[in-house]
Amino acid sequence: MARFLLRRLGYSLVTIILATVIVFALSRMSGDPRLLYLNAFSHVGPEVWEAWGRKLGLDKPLPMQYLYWLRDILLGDWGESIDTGIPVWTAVTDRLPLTLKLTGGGFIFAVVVGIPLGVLSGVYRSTFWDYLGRTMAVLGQSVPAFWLAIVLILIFSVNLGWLPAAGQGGFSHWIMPSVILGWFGSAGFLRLTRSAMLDVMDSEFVKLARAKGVNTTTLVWKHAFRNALIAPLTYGGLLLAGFATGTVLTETIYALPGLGRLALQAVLANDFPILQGSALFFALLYVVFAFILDMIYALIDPRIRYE
Amino acid sequence: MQLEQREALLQIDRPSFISRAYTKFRQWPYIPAAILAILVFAALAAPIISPYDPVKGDLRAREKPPLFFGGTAEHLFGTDNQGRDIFSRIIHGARVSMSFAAVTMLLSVALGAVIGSISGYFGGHVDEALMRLVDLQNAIPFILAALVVVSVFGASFTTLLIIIAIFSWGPTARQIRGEILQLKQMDYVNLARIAGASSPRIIFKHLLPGVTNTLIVVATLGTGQIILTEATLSFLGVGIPPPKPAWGSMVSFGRNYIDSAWWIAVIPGLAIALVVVSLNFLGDWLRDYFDPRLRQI
Repeated sequence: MARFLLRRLGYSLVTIILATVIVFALSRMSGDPRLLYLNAFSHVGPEVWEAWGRKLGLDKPLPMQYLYWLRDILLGDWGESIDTGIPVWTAVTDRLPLTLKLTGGGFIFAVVVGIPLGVLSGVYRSTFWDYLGRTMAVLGQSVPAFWLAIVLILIFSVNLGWLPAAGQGGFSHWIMPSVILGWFGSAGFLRLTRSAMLDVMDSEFVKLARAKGVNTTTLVWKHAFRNALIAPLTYGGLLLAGFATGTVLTETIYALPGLGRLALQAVLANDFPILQGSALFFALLYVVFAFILDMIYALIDPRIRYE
Repeated sequence: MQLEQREALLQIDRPSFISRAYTKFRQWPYIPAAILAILVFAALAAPIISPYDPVKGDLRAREKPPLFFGGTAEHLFGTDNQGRDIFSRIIHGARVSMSFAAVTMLLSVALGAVIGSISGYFGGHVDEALMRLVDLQNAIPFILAALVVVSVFGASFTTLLIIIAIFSWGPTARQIRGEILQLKQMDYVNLARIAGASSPRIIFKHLLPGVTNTLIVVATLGTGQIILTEATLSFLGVGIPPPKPAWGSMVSFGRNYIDSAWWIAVIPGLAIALVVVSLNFLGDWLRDYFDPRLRQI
C-alpha cells in the first residue's frame, strides 16, 4: 500500500507541475497585459512602462518568469488582479465556497440519480426501471446541459414559477444548478453501474447466495452492489475533470459568482494573474480529488495495490 | 395440446411489445441511421433546399411561432426576433456543425490512434510519459484553455478545430493502447519483428489494422461529443463566429427571448440532442456488432 501511495503521489506531483507550466504558458499567450491597462491612461512614458514590467516580472526571460512565479505560488503569493488590485488568493478563495457547494450539489445529483437507477436497471432487466434507466443514460449523454438549463428555466421559472431563475439564496436556488452540473455525470454513473451490476449478478457468488435463499434486497445491496461499485468510483475522478467546464457554464447561466465565472471574466478582461490562479486552482482541485478517489479505490479493491 | 394452453405457454415466453421493439431497434439501427442520413443530406444540400436565407431576416415576420404552436407552414420552425427562418438556420447550422465535427473527429482520432499505439507498443517510460499527458488533459480545465486560445487567435474554424482535437484524443489513446497491449503479444507481431520490420512498420502495417473496428466505434461516439463541445463553446460566445449559424450560438441567442419566443432557443437544442442521440445509438450498435462480448462502457 505504501508503495502504491508513493507512486500515486509522484504521479499527482508530475501532473501538477506540468499543469503549472501549461497554465503559465496559456496566460502568457494572451499577450502583454501592459498593452491593455496602460493604454487606457493614454500617453505613458517608457519609465512607467518599465516599472509596470518590473512589477509584473515581465522584464525577465520566460523560463525565469516561470520559476519566479512558481516560487511565489509556493510561498503563497499568488499576485494581484491587474483589474481590481485584489490579491488573487483572496479573489479565488472568496469564490471557492460557492463553487465547492455547487460541485457538491452536482456530484450528489449525479450519484443519487445515477447509481440507484443503474442498480435497478441492471437487476430488473427489461422492466420499467430498465427502460427508464436506459432512456436517462441516452438523454444524459446527448442533451446539451446548457440547453437543458434554459429549458428548465422556461418550465420551472417562467411558466410554473416554482424555482428562481438565477442568483443565490436558499435551497431552491441550488436545485437547477445542481441538476445541470450533475446531468452529464448521472448518465455516466448510470451506465457504469448498470453494466457492472449485470456482470456481478451473473457471477458465481451471487448465484450461490441466491441458491442459499438470501432475499433479493440483501442480495442486491449487500452482496452485488458492493462489488459493482468499483467502476463507478473511478468514473467519479473523470467526472470531476468535466466539472471545471460545467461550473463555468452553470455559473454563467444561473448568475452565480463562483470560480468558473471569475475565470471566464478574467479571460475576457485579460487579467492574467486571476486567470492563472483560478486555472491552477481547478487543476489542483482535480488532482487532489483524483488522488483521494484512487486511494479509496485501492482500499476497496486490494488487487489495485499490487498492480 | 389445447389451443388455450398453447397460447398461455406462448404468453409466458413472449417479451413485451416495448422490449421487442427495443431488441429490433438494437439489431439494426434504422432510425438513427435515417436521421443522420437526412441531416447529412440537408447539410450538403443546404443552399438548395433551405427555403429562406439563413442570415438575412424579414423584419415584418418577427418571432413567428412554429407550425402547430400557432404558426403557419410558411415558417415551419418559426422565426427569431430578426425575422430569420429557424428551419433554414437549422439546415445551414447542420452544415456548419457537421462539417466541423467530421474534420475535428478525423484529427482527434488520428492523434489518439497514433499516440495510443506508440504508448502501447513501446511501453515503459514512453508509455508512462504519454499517459501522463492524458492525465494532464483532464487536469487542465478545457474550457479555460479554449477561452484563452480563442481570445489570442480569434474564434475561427481552424482555431476551434485544433484546440478541440488537442483536448479530445485522450480517451481514444487509452482505448487503443489497451488493445495494442494485447495485440502485440500475438505471434505474427513477433514474427514481423524477427523478420526485421521496423517499429513504425509494425505499428502502421500490423497493429493499427487490427484495431480498425475500435477506431470506428470510438470515432462515432466521439463525433457526438465533439458536436456537444462545439455547441457549448458557441453557446459561451467563443465558438464558430457569426454570421455562420451554429446551433450552440442559436441557443445562446434565443436565451434572451425565452419568455416571449421559447422556440428560438429550444429548437436548435433539439437538433443538437437529436444528432448526438443518433450518433450514440449508432456507436453502441457498432460496438455490439463488431464485438458482442463488449458491454456498454
